[in-house]
Amino acid sequence: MVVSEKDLFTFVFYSDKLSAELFDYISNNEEKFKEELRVFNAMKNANVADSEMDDILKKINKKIIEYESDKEVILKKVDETNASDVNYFIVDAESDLYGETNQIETFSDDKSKYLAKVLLSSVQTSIQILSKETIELKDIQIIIHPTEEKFDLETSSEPVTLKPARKIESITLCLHK
Amino acid sequence: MNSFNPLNIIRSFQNETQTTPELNFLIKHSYQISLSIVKTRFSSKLSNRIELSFDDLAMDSIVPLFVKGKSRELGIKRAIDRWNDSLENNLDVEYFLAKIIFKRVEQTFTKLIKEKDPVFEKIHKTLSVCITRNKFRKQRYLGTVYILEKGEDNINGQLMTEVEFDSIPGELIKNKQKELFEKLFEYIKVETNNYPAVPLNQLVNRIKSKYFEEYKTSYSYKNLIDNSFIENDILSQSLSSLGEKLETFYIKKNVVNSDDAEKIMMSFNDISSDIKNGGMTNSLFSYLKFRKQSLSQEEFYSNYHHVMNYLLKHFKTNISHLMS
Repeated sequence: MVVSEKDLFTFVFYSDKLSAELFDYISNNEEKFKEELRVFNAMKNANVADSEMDDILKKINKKIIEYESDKEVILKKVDETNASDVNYFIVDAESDLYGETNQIETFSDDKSKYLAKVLLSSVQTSIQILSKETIELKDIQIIIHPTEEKFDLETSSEPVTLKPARKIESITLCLHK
Repeated sequence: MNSFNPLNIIRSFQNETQTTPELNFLIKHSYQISLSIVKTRFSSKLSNRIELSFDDLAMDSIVPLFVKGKSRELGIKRAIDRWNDSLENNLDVEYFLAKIIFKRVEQTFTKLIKEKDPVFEKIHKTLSVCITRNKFRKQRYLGTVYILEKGEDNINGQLMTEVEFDSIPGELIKNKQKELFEKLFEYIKVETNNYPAVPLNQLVNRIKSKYFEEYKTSYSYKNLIDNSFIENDILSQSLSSLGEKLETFYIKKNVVNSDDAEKIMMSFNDISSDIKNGGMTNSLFSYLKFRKQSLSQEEFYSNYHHVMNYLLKHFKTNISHLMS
């Protein structure tokens, strides 16, 4: 007899909805379905205390707000005199591959969680996105201003290269697409 | 669900007419399901490999369900719209919630593993491409992703246990891509009484173990013959590349001094060792602080975070290329 995952779920949660045949089969073969019954019974008996649950709800709501506020971040140009010298090495050490770089600009959000390093040469503009909190960002979109061009990136680990070169005033970083 | 009726609540979300009490109730109920799944299906894997509490994993897994996407719809609403099975009664609704939260927990956990373990990530990605290209099917069962033969829509039989899968002869794991899956399906059908379904993450871990086992054997053999130290393991090669980068760029351009470069290198040795044994277990700050006791968070983010972040990216890219 073929017993599906839903059959086993029904056996634990709504046994009266199961056919007699299936109910008997599962009851007589509990050892065979040991893991599924263990998982579903634990789920059925899960009971977090009300007092604890109020705290949990507050934490989850806070995470939801953070998740949503992180979704679109504006990166504005940072005064280069204040930018850490250390930022310069985020450019690939073989940066001569990008051609002769005339200018390097740094963009950051208000909370300094995200950084964009923009390399300008006579022929191209390269944009590297970095996060302070995670090694790389996945599945993001950047919008450069004022040209309003959009770029979808699977990962922030590769720079976006624009030819011909463009001047960038700010960048919108869209997370959690 | 206390005084709330599951079917009515889901209808509210489907029509986007949910009230705040309904939203709060569903969040709490989803958390209970999520925590239960974490404790029953991921607890042993979590404590070994990921620095995250059960509560946090349970919470992080369900947050996206209650966040609005680009379409301005809540994640749970999108999940309801995509659900292929019926949602006619409370049983259907409870099962639906269990399934989507199983999926969310597994996805969150796998994402964390990939962040900590670039070798796991590389193998997982390679297999995922193979699965798509050869039209093998993916099905989830109790949250675990199983790969089925082409043309199979559902799991129709007994699945192998974790212990049974780990007992499959290592010779089969050496096969590549499509042949790997075909040989595994054949083995399961012929040699066991189980349904031919391959647990994806467990397969990735077996491939990873097999990979390092072979390099260790090869290294030991060559060491015996040559009596010389030969670095032929991908992590060692990737570490060498990092060392070279530190020497030729960061020290040369005075981005870091020799002393700091040495401590950064020692941190990456620690990272490499952890990756071999399951994945990174700490933040970059913690790894460097272990080697440079006086380091403060402020100093780290000001002077070292970008260096180590970039070097880690380079390390992962190197591993990926060498494994290719």
